[in-house]
Amino acid sequence: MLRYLAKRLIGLIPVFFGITLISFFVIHLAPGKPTDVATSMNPKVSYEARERLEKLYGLDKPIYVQYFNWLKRVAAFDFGRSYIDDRPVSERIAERIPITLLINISAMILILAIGIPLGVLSAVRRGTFLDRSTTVFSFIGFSVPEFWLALLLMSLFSITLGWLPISGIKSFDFGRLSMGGKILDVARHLVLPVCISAFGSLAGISRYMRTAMIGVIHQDYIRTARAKGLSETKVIYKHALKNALLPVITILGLSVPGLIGSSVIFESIFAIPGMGRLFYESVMARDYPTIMGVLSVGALLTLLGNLLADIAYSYADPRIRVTEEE
Amino acid sequence: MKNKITLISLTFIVMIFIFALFAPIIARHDPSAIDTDAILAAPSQAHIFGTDTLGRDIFSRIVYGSRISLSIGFIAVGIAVLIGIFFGSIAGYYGGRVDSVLMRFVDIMLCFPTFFLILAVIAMLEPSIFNIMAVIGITSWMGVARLIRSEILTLKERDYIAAARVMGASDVWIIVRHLIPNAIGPVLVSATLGIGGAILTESALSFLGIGVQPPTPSWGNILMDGKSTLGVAWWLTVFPGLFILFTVLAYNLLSEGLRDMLEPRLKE
Repeated sequence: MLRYLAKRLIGLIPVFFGITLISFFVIHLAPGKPTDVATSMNPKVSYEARERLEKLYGLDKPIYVQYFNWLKRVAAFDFGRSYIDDRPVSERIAERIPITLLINISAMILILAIGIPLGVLSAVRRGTFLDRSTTVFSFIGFSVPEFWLALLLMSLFSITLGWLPISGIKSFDFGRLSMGGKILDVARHLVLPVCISAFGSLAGISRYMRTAMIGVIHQDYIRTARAKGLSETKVIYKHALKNALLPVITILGLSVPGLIGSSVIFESIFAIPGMGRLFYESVMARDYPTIMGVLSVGALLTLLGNLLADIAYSYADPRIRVTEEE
Repeated sequence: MKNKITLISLTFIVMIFIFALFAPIIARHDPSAIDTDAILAAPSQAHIFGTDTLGRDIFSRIVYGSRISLSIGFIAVGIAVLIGIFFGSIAGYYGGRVDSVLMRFVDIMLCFPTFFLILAVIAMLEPSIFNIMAVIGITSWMGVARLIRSEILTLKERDYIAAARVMGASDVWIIVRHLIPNAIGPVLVSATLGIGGAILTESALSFLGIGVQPPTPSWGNILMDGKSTLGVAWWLTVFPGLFILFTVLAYNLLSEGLRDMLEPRLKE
């Protein structure tokens, strides 16, 4: 198992380099420089001063040199300093990341807790009302613009009904609340963002789960299990589910980048000060170090998701562990 | 039942096409005409979907916005399909090291938080319609590449490919004339699905203010005003959103119908 893990881990390193390399080149090759914002608008800044500024940020060197310098610093966990407020990028990301992680992990749990049982049930009760409603639900889930759904639910729950706070993550009187009150307050603020960000993937996962389950139910070993006289629950939840989960685990791993990417949209709709908002602000200000920092952390989280998917996969399918170790 | 759904989806898509083609005839108002006497007017005879914060007719803006959504959907997916076919067929046909390098590259692209990359590129280049199409296309070709590759992997072992080779056909000729046409079915299905995805991405970008720039109407940027008028003018949010939802839904259902048609084996 350990050897299998180590192998997967090593396999992820080139992917991380690939992602950062592409990001770095795309961002730095785009026309315009971050120094333009400070200089070209300002007639008092001379050409020499601009060159000095570029030199200070290392922007005067060829791009591959810049990339290697960046890599060298990242190897020591240093993402550089923000062009906006000169604070270390790692510090800026560290204060924004917990809330984004909290939302995405809660969404993931919601997806697993609802999507998988829903898919299994509609596969087992194929053709029933439940199955048909799940199918309709999953098609709508695929097609609905999530930001629009967010606006609709916001207007229903926060404005018309007044049940939930409209945006942000804390109420004004947050400081005076008790510990339990604080947790409840944050939870009330996060209900909508979490549910909506889970919605799209939830639809996808339940659909994949259903397809995988239908495929498995017709296999010979399921017939054997039934012939042995096992109870239907045992056949479905022990023998069939374990095998049907395999493709779904892969899909789950692949849905991580989507979740992270859409945090930009949610965080700007619900005014949540997370990593997505930080990215949006940095892009607008051409804050290269922060952009690269957030992209790298995003890539790291995605790879972590893939690694977890691999672990889950090898847990569900022992054949993987054995053949990969040989 | 399934055929009926496909037909309804197709009808809806044709309707949106008619909207886009005949926008000046169908829209009763100029989509950017500001009318200070009718700011945030509720749906009525004069403005069937109401008006926005500048008194512009929402229905007319939606009709004109369909031009943007359709052209972005089709061209972005066209770009993605071309790139995907190019890499996928090379990987599948030549195999070996070429294949493993290209597929590794696909893996890397699939690990990207794509929306971050799209956002960064658009914001840095300038949010023009052309840039949006190009960036969406460049970040969504991986599925097509994988499909084409796996089709070609099985197709290239067939006798008719061996026959073509014996007759002296070049690699390019075999790929372009014999392999791609036979592998195109699944690509068509995934491309139809991709059009819906591209429309969604464009609307999200425009909603964030870095997509199609006002005053050009797009379904996403009509919704931009929706947030500030939430609870005041529901029509501003509901109608453009429904158009996005139904259009994307129609493409997704059409893709499902196409799949059943092209691959009867998979039919449930």
